[in-house]
Amino acid sequence: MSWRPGFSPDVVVIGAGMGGGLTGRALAEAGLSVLFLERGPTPPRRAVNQLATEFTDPYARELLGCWPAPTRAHVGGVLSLPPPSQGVGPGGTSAFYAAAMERPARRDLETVGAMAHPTGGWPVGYDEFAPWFDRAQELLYLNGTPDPLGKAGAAPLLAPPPPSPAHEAHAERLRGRGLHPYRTPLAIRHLPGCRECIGHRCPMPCKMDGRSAGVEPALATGRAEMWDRAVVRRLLGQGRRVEGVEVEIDGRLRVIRAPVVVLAAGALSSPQLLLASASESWPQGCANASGLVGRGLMFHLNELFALWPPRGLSRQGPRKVFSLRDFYDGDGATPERWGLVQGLGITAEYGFILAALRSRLESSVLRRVPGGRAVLGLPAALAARLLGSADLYAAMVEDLPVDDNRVGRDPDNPDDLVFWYDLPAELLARRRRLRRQLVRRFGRGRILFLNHKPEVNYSHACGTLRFSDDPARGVLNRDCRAHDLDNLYVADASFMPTATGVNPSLIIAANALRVAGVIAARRAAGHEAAR
Amino acid sequence: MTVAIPGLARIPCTDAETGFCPVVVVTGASAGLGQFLSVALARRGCRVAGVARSRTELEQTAALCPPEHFLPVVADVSDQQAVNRAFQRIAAELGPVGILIAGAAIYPRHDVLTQPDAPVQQVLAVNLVGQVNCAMAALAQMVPEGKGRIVMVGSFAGDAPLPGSLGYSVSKAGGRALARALVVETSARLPEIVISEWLPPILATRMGHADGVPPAIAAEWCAELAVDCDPALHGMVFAGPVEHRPPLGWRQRLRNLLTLRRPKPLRRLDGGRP
Repeated sequence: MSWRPGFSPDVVVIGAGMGGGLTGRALAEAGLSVLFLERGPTPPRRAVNQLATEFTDPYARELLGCWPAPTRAHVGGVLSLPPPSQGVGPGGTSAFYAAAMERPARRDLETVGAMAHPTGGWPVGYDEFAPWFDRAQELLYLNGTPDPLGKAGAAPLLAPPPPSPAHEAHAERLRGRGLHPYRTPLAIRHLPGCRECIGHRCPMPCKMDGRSAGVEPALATGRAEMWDRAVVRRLLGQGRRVEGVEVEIDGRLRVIRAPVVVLAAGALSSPQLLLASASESWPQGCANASGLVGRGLMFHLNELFALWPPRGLSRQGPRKVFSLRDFYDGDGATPERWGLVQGLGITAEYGFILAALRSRLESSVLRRVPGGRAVLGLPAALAARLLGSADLYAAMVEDLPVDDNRVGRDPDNPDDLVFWYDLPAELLARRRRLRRQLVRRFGRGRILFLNHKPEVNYSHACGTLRFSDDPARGVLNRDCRAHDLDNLYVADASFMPTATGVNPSLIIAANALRVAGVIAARRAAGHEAAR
Repeated sequence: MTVAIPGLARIPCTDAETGFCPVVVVTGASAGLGQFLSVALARRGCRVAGVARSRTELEQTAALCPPEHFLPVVADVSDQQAVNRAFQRIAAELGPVGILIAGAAIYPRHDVLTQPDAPVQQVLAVNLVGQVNCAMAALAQMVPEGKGRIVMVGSFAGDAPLPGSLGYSVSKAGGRALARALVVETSARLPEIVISEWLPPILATRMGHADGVPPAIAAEWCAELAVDCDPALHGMVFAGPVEHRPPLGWRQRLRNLLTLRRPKPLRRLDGGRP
């Protein structure tokens, strides 16, 4: 961490992940000075680790990019400790993501035909968002092919590397079944030495994430700085202004002041920080006159399954290859919100199957049988032999906003991520219909589900500071500025009023650029007025 | 005696594009195993930087190596600043350090019951702190590259201490813990910095025993291990020419039986059959 004397930023960005990183980059490139406050440490640039899940020690977790404190999930009234899914350090969770950058459909932002939007529509519609999707697509070097079921009109993607013969043949087979696979848009540049860093840090500026496409280009402008291991504890201020950011560095508190504050700590942490900032002037927490801060938490459900590409063909080629939107809008008869099917770039191996079998065991009456976990090794080994060449896919199910699903905080353990989340019956019913349709379309006996219970994708958290034109129905306005404040913006997945049917990363990146555009334009207008 | 060198499974540390051989730092290069090791590596084409306290003895090692392949570096490994300066000089003269073989050790005998001021701390300073200093100085050059190779020369002396070798036993127990701790630091984040432990047999050197293994042969085993950058070697322990694994517990053996898994054959450094 550098302490450049006299550095007084135009904007403080809290959190250097996909949202904060890209906002900061766009602001620095627009000529503003930016200070990133990042909770995690900066790893060696060549590090390739996954997000640590095996440690409880906070220091060790942070070294491996993992949120230091436990996640306490109250799901269906039962407290559980899901494996950590939140990253820290430059790039945040995106340093570990699988680089899938799917564009949402119009129906994700607006009412389209018979598909009514759950909130009546985002305050910023699809056409207004489209240029920002294009811009993010360009900055992140997205390569892929267009969805054959989609509408033309988006900027063309870069050409992806050719698929392996096995995947090519698999796509052909799926097309033969009336399905429409397309190449997943990936933010991987395939530079020499590329390792397709799916699920782990990339040692090069090759996978585009909040670090390589955000923080690093921002720092390269010379107008940005990042303080790492800087834990923001509270926003200070009164009335309509945030006047300071209270940050803990090396155990000491200090206050950073800047005209504009961008909150991008992630959908689980950003609302927590606002709630922690309650004061005389903000009795319910900062930006919380609506009482909605933290409410409307959504994830996606993942239906994990294995598919087998045709045997006997080479698999030499990219690993994460196909997406399908044949299940996006329901089964065709009644439109409803299902979601994207996406290859995970992982083959079904022994360890994965063992974990899947074990989680199934945990949820069954056999869980008390002594030695049951060890005995599962045999079926897992057999399955691995049989499934050795299967690819794993996930079908996402869109989660809908419910105000009782919410992020909270535990004042005694302020670093813990705490949320209350129930799976609505309506979601479970949609999930069952999707699974039936998956079997029907891929073919009975050709698809093997790997999760039995609903599997919540905790890394897709969103919705906890949603934007709305109505200050009573949303925390942020259409510019993602807090309704209650003049100088606080939010640039992470919290702003999303609905979860959409796709991975949130492109939406976060595009919105971050849009928010930076608002801030830069407002500042330029201010200068104009002052002149 | 010739030593067969296995060639197939090896992932050489040599730069594949340029064929440029790596810079190897050997500590304790002035005598004993370190000297043989320096010669063995220099003969393989490596550029060896030999670290020791005595310039005259280092010159003797240099005389045994092919010309231009050995750089004598005078430094006391127990002195962190001296080690850092030495590594900076090596990087400046030869290029960034690719391989470290940390083997410098002393083995004075003392009786702590009758010699209350026996120099135990000095043994720890050379054998253990010296390894810490060299490993950290080497990592400082390897981390930005994201790759490297470290062989920690260790000993079972800490597991079965002999009377009259308190300092040595403690230092070697510490050395083994150091190796495991280094493995944990790099395995997830920078797995191409490959760290192994090598426990030499009793050698026919001045620290060893006249009936021991000829150091020239043992040096070939260690050189073989050091120039192999296979990430599978990360965390592996070799005793003499053979991989050393702790015996499996009955649970693990039962599990292997149930899951039809057979343990991999032990790796060897001398080309012999497992």
